[in-house]
Amino acid sequence: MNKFHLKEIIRELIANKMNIFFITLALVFSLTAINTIYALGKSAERQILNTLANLNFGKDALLILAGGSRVMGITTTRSDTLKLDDIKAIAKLEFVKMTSPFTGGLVEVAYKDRAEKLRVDGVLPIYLEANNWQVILGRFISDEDIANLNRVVVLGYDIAKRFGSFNILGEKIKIQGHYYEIIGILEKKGSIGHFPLDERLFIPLTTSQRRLFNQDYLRGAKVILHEGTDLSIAVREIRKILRERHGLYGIAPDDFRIVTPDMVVARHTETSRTLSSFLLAIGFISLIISGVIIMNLMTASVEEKAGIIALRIALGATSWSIIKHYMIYALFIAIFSGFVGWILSLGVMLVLSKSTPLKPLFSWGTFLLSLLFSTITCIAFSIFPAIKASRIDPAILLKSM
Amino acid sequence: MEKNFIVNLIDVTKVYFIGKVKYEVLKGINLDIEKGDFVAIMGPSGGGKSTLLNILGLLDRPTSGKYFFEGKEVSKLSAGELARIRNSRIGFVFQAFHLVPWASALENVLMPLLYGGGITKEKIEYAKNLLERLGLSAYLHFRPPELSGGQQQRVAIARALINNPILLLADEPTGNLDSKSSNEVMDILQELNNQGLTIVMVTHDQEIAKRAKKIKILKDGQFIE
Amino acid sequence: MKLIKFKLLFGGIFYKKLRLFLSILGITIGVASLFTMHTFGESARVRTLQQIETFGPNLLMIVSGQARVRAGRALQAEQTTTLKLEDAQALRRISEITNISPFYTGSAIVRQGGRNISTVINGVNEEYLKIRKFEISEGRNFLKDEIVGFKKVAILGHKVKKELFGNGKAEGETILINRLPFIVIGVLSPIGVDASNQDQDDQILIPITTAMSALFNVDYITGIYVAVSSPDVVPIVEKQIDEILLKRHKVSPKDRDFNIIKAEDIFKFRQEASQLFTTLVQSVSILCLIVGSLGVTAVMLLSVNERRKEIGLRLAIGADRLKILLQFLLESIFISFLGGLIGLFLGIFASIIFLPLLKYPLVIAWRPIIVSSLLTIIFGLISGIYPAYRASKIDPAILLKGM
Repeated sequence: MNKFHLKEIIRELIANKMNIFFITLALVFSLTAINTIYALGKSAERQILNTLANLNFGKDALLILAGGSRVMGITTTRSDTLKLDDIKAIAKLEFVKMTSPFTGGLVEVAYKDRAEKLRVDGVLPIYLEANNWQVILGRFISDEDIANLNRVVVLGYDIAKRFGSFNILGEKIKIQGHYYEIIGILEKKGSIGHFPLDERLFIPLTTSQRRLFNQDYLRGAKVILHEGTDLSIAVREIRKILRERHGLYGIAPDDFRIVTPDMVVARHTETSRTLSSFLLAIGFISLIISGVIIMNLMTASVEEKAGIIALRIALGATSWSIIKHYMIYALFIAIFSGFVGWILSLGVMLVLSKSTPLKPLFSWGTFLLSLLFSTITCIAFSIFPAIKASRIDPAILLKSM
Repeated sequence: MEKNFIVNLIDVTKVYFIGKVKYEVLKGINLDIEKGDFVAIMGPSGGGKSTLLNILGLLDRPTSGKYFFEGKEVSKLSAGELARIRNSRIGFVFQAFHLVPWASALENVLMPLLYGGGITKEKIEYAKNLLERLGLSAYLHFRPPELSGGQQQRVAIARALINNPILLLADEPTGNLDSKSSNEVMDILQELNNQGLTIVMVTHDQEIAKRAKKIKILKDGQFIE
Repeated sequence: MKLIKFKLLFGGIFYKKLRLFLSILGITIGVASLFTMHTFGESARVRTLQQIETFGPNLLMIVSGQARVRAGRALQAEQTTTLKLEDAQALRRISEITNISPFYTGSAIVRQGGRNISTVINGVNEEYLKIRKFEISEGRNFLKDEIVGFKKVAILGHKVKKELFGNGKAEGETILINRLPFIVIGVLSPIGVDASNQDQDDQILIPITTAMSALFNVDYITGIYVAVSSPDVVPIVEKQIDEILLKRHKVSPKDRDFNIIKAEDIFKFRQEASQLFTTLVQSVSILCLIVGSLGVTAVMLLSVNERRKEIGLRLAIGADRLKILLQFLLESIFISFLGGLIGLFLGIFASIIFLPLLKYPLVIAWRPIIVSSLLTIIFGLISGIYPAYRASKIDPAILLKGM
């Protein structure tokens, strides 16, 4: 393949403006759709991952929840068996960096003249570190609060906002009929899926167990592992300890659940994943249709140029060189369409990000993907016309003139 | 205007613009064709022969001047009315035959009926009859690629005759044919003329032109005597 | 005669068979996928409706403690022990209530002939099956006497029965639930995952009395299912239940220790979510049709270009431009329509194969058929406009260039 050949192919491309226009258009449509759908799916997943990572739940962490269940939902076992001692036993495991037990529930919270049911969690001071959280005002629960069962409360960002003022440190709110002093406000974290993180209040774990809920069991605990711990081994070890301590043997079901970050991600991306796989399937179908169009137009173009091709063959071109000619021709179209499709998908995402919470995702990976799909389609569907061209009988030259 | 004039062209001009360059293809043509005439138009390439034939065949309109077809001024008629006249009064024969490759000889002959007259049993019989008269009875269901050049041109002549036109326009009817086929085609045209059909033919070929009753030479957009 | 006329008008389409085939193929694939996606959407809708069936619009569920409906799932935040069997009895006073069944949910180990499984045990009464519209495939429902008399009898979920007995008969056999012997009196027909996201085939139903006493030894229940005479009275009944239970539990509304869940609460989110899903999938599947139509446009343009002389000839022999325009428009529509027709059949075929395979109910609804057909014709028309316009603008003078 020399310069002369390339020039010839480019000239042929330009001469076939209409064909090239439609082939490119069809390819660009399909590729834009595929790129956009793929990138948006990835971006939605990344958003959840980021939120989780921001909560120190990205990796090397897991969550133990009280109460066993086959699926998420109503527990089918006792849920009052998870105790602080269980968590202390887990904390002793060598791969465990820290544990943050919690309890809580929906209770009546009153501030000034308004009252509503809000989620109140009882936690330890380590909660902040375990969840990578910060107070923006005041302070968090201290060891002293834990020891003295102090009636103090830290507000989630949205709760403070709902109370109408951030200047409320030192003021009192009523939780289940008792006054608690507001000592701090947490920074904003957003939400995971439908779960609002900032609509919660935090009180000392001891206060919540003995004074508010009057229960000695926990709702769960977050366990942070040392970096690089094998998650599946950790889950197995923790499960073993808890089953032993709860006297569960044989096939007796767990009365707790261990939730790993993957499970949370999977649960929150389940719908969007099915959706994007459906949409991607459609994108691929349209790519196949584009392929059919390519095959159709290329075949027509070969028929039209039969004379020239016959002349080439008569002048000594081999079958392979004719096929190669059309393959390179297809490659030109593929690269161009792949590139345009990728650029357009960035544009579409930019537009979409204005009206939806999805963020555009720029990646060279999708660019390569776009080129790859484009190339595969173009080459695969040009093979037939190319072979057809290579089989043209040079004898037609004599007849047709 | 005498009754037996079919065509009267009065000071017909045709001007084309290609880009900004002006081309005066016809510079005041006056031409009268009587019923039963057989006129051959000759002249060098680019002399305006094709343009004149396009105007005569109502495929194009003159830039200025008047064109009376069967005594009726046609340069101001609508496209639809012109189409109707082409369909019912004029027959065309082309150098490249212009048969539709996917239709049989018989079907090609029937084609004009699609746009006027309608395809009826009688017309199909008539088409078969025409083809027979032109010596193609064995080829009714052959497709053009399966026919020789002379045979194709005869199919084209049959097609031109299907609606019993008053004027036959032939553009280099023998241009793509060997001499034997050329003679056959010219015999047919002469025969048709003898039966009263008016024919205007464009040709390069002196020998072919001699078969016509009149020869006119068109050069640089004007007839020269 | 008609045939010749048709052939003279449309013979050109069939001249290049491969080209025609490929043009039709593009549309066929497009329409087939469009139709299949639409059918999937319809099917998903029907499936949601079927799920609502087992938690019909005339149902209410009272659960102890605080439960919230989030993302279409009833999540129990915490369990309290204050909801009693007597509460369920007390609710029978409400005249609009037609059926009532208290339930206690727990899990247990079940043994039969050396096979051990762990499954969900639901203690219910004899009205439960009627309330949930569950069918029995083998055996019978509970008798009232069995509920009142603390009998150790069980109705197996479809999957449990399969695991314990395979294809054999289960009725009359004895199983051990947490080492207590129960006699199997019936097997449920397959139900699948219900609205609360529990696999209803993976459960065993036993009398509520037996569940509370012999099996789990509790004096409280998990909740109460209530069926009312018509969906219209749901709000009234909800209010009455609320009043009765508040009074019985001697609590103020703000300390309410139970929660009433209506079908509406569960399905609103679900229906919205599946609606969004379907709409998105359907609108994107139009992409296929657009791309397919692009193909038709391209091929028609090519064909117009190749058939310049034919068009010129038609003009010369008396066709007017409108007829040419119409002819080529009809050709595009014909290609699209043929592709659409084949695509529709392929789509129906694919639906018949894939819907049951993916456990979706098999629906061949009119809506997708009509929508696909209409869209095909519209796109056929659109794809033909430009080529037809180009065809009608061809100058017949090209015929005389001696080509």
